[in-house]
Amino acid sequence: MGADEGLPDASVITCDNIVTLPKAILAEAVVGHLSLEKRGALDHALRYALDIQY
Amino acid sequence: MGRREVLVQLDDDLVTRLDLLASERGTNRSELLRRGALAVLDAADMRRADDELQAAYRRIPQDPDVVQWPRSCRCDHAGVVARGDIVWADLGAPAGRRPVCILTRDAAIAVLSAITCAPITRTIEEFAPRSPWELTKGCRMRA
Repeated sequence: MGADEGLPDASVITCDNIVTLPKAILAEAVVGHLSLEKRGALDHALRYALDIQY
Repeated sequence: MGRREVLVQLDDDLVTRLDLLASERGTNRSELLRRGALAVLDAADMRRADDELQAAYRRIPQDPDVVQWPRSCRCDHAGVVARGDIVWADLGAPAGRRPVCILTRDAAIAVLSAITCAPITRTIEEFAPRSPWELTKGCRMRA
């Protein structure tokens, strides 16, 4: 991920460190959004991270 | 499972398009209609599940202790977010201020006061294997 998602540098989503945050701290405007293709890749990574097999 | 013949009236144009798709996919009109019916039923089930989930959280809000964690997070004002959005957040020490990706499904975001996010990092090299597939295996999603 990077500029396409509104990020200044090449980055990765860390699916092994998901956290629950109060909605109130997501204070700033949305800077980007995952494309459908990248959302598919994220879902794949989440399934792997959480060992969802079915 | 038993099957029954059902008479369905379709527009000529719809039949033409279905037959075209069926020949492209090496299947037949009946199979496409079966899949279509299942998709409609699945969508109705999902919609019902969303409604039930929202009603349940309205009846019994989230555990306040979970909502307040982590207390070190800085509170400004609530933004409107959706699944797949990238938003900056202050996660407190040691993670600090960094972008996160929203994971909670949209139907739940509407009724929750705390939502699930995956932190985003620029630290790729020290974990990163070589191919996108291996990145996925390492539970890191990269374009």
